[in-house]
Amino acid sequence: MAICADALFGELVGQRRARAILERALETGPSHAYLFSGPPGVGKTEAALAFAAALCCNEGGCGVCPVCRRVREGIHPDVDLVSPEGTFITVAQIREINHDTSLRPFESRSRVTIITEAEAMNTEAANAFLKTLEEPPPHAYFLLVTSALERLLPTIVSRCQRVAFQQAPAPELEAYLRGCCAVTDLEAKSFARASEGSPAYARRLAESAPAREHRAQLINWARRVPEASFYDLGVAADEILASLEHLGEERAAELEAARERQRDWAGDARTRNRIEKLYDQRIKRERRRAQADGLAEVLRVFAGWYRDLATVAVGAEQAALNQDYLYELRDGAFVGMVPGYLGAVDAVKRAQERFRYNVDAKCTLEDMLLAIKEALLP
Amino acid sequence: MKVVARKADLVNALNTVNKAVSTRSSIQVLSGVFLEAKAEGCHLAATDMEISIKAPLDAQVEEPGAVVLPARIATDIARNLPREEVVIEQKAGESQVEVRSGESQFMLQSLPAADFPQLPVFPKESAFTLGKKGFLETVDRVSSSASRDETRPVLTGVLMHVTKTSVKMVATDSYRLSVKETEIDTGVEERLEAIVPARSLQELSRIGAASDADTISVVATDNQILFEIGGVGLSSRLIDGQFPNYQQLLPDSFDHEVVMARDELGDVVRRVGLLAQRNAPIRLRFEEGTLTVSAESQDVGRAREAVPVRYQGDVLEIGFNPEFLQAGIAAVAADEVRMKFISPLRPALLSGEGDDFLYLIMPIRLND
Repeated sequence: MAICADALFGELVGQRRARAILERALETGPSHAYLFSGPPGVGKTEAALAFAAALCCNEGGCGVCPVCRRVREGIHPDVDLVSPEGTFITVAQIREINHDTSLRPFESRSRVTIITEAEAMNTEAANAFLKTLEEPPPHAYFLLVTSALERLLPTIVSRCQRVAFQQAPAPELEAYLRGCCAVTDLEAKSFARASEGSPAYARRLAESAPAREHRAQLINWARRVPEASFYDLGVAADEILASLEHLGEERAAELEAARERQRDWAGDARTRNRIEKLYDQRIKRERRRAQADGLAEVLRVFAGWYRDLATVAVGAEQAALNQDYLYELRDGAFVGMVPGYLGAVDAVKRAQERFRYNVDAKCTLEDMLLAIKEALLP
Repeated sequence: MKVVARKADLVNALNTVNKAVSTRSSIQVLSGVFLEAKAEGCHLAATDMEISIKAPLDAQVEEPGAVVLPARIATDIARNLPREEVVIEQKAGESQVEVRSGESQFMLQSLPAADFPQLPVFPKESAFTLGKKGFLETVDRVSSSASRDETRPVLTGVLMHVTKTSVKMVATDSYRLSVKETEIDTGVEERLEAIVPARSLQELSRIGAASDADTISVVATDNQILFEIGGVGLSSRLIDGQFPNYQQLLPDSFDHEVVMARDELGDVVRRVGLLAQRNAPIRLRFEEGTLTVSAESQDVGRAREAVPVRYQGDVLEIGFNPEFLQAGIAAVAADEVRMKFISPLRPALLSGEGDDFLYLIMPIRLND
């Protein structure tokens, strides 16, 4: 057994604790169920695939053999990657998992089911899953992935070993960005801070000019709120929402191309229908998810900005998130306004809370901008 | 890779493996058929990750190699080729595969062979061989009792029990139970017990029917069971779990016993069963010298038919699912079927004279 942790988990940034749990599990014998939880964009699904590769690999996790490669590309017969069909993970999907779990593995020593967005299991599905999770056959492993732990049934959570992922610490993100992208020191520092611990987002800022422009635009809106008229705020809310609309298009186009390729190759009508349906749902989901991520980013940038104003106002510049805007921050920050800044941050937090309950985006955004304006009145 | 084959052989081999091509998976490579050409021969394979089928292709291998082709399209092409001879070629470093016959040429997008699941290898040295006829007959008579309900995976399988001199198979969907023991010289050293998906055995039976080989080779590994008939290999994942202890389900003694001509009973049940629709039971009423079979479906009508029978004792009226009763009678391979009863609410047992076959069937409670 040769476990090569670096080949498996080398891509993970700033997840020392999660890595340690997984590596120890591979050395001493894994449990049957793990729950990979933590904020979005920190590499949970990738880690789950790498762990699954190690569970199937004949070498115990070399990270480089054909078995490991196929698992990580999602084409290994003994690793099943399940994500919501539509809004939920349905009971029909769980039945399929249960059936497949009852069969011995196809070619490996293990059979791994990875369930992404596990919180999307509805109650019926979760209950259908419980028994399998409780008494799995010896070859079966379940890796549940979620960024909304609190929405999972406690009965599910209690049957899994937790692997907690965290926001990657800024210094590690900085080093990561310097290693993989062409960035200046200031950029690395700013993007690492601005991404709030998500390597995926930090990398997008470093690599994509439109992503950087979008951030700049959001900061600009945040700066303009105090002097904006009520009419301006309404326009700003519309513009912000409009700026999110294109999000997910790229990924959707990719999926559409994959759908064409796979459908034409398959040939028979039944498979074609299934592929169509599967991809349609996947595309819809990706779009919805991109929108949600987009909104989350808007709120993050707004909250970050007012937080930074407070931070700079009290003279703690080095703790600011937007290191590349220090000049503007110094220009706008006044000690007397600190309660106002904190009030603005609270307004954003309230909006965050509302989005979680699917309140209409436009209403929430307008209300948030008004509340910020009120908080920042001199 | 370059192989030259005959159209008919290619069509045959594709038809054989096509049954294992996945129609459900979202993994693209599983809707393909794997073609491997080696110096010692050429074969096709497909898998839906539950069943895998491997078929030899009689072909001249000019250059070894392996590739995955779209199964459906490749089959359609093979059927419509203009000439008897077909050349399949993939030039080094290209992803497209060329299929040539006469003047027609097809270029097919392929997938790399390395993406195809690794199919289990048939370990010839640990295999045992048994007569095809007896084995497949056992499969055919037992496997239809297996459950189709995925919520109890173990019941979708057939319990297969092999000893040195016999093969026993058991299947149940909890409404009926079939047990058949067949004396076959297997020569197996250690006895073998495995739960094999009923679907896999039915597929095996289909392959066996199309083959003129007389024997089947069998190997069970930890995860899979492998069969080989006349060069065609079928492997299936095994079901993990505890099969119900069926011996406990068989009552020790019965109060009534009736022997009837199988065909006659089968005909009556089928005729009267026409009016037992939508879960309505078929009724069997035994009284001195007569069996009355009747059925009634609301909004459709009712049917009855009386047949003479050697029966003595109290009147016994018992109801069954017509489909299950018919299947049981049909599975008895003897001129006479022996039926044993205890009471209207206890299971009944069907068997044939001189035949190691048992069919236990649960009754349906009659409301009046």
